[in-house]
Amino acid sequence: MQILIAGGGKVGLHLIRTLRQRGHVIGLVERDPRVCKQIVAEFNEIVVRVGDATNPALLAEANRIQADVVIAACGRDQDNYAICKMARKLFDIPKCVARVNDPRNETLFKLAGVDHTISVTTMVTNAIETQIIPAELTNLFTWHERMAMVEIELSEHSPVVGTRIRKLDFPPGSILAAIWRNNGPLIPDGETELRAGDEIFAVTMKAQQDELRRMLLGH
Amino acid sequence: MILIIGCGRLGASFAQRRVARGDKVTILDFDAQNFQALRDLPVRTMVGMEIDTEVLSRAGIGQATCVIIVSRDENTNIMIADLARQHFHIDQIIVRIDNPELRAIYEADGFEVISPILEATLSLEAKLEAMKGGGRADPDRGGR
Repeated sequence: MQILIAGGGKVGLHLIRTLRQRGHVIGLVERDPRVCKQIVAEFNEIVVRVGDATNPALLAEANRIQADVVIAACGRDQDNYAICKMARKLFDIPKCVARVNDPRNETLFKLAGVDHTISVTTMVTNAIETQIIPAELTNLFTWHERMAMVEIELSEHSPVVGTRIRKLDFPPGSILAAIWRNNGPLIPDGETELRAGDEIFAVTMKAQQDELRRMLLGH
Repeated sequence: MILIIGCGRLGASFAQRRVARGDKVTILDFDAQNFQALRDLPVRTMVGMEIDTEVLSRAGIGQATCVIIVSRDENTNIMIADLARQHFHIDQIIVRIDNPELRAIYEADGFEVISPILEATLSLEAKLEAMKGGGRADPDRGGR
């Protein structure tokens, strides 16, 4: 793929190392001359332009690679916004990925036709919610924004311990896909009786996630 | 009410003129220092980061008849222009964009755009041409 990277400083540098390893062709506009120097020293085939990544003339020069995708990785949301606008309207680059710092700006980026926004703030918040705060229900993965794969660990206090799965009244769109029990996997069926210590891997609709937690954990 | 975003020389000078004509004006800037020029004037000033729907709401963007976006940072300006239109459904927006490529994009999208640097440059050119043409440029006519 041909990838145009706009800004990003050290983030851009690490991104380029990874993308080059996978064989992508890179164009870069970056303000920090030290970062540019390092990139040129490491990869002499990369088209690098030093300067303001929102400058259309510099973007056009770095876009000599005829990018399929632009990554707007500057530190300020408004700069990434300007880059994406120009990428779509001036350079006809089919895909845009933007780093967004304020998650509230994500909607506006989407309206402007940006395909993917990467919000460090959101990622850190999610990490805290899913990993750092020990929760009895962990959201492992969200699919198409509406479905979720979750992990639930049953304690001895859970109201469903000792109950067969077919007796349970599941919220719509929810299913228990697998159970991790005694250090091994178990694919449950209606006759499986739930036990304390079961780690349950469930698929549910995000809207029903709380209901599923209440059913299995009682709170 | 007229909402002005950015209290640089342009924003402040425009605010002064509108107030003198009896308009209600609110002006927003991230730096309170920039309101010095408006001391003693009946202008509502508000300090806040401009790209923020909550700040814009508190500034009263919902009641604004028009929004004038004239900060010195044009990337900020275009983002606020889209926010004002898409999020707050404001019809009357004037946005300052000096970069000619971005200007073209926003004009094509139906925004009213001003480009002080470009307009001053053209004016300078016109005056220079008039001088070359013999005698002084007519001071009343200026140039566009």
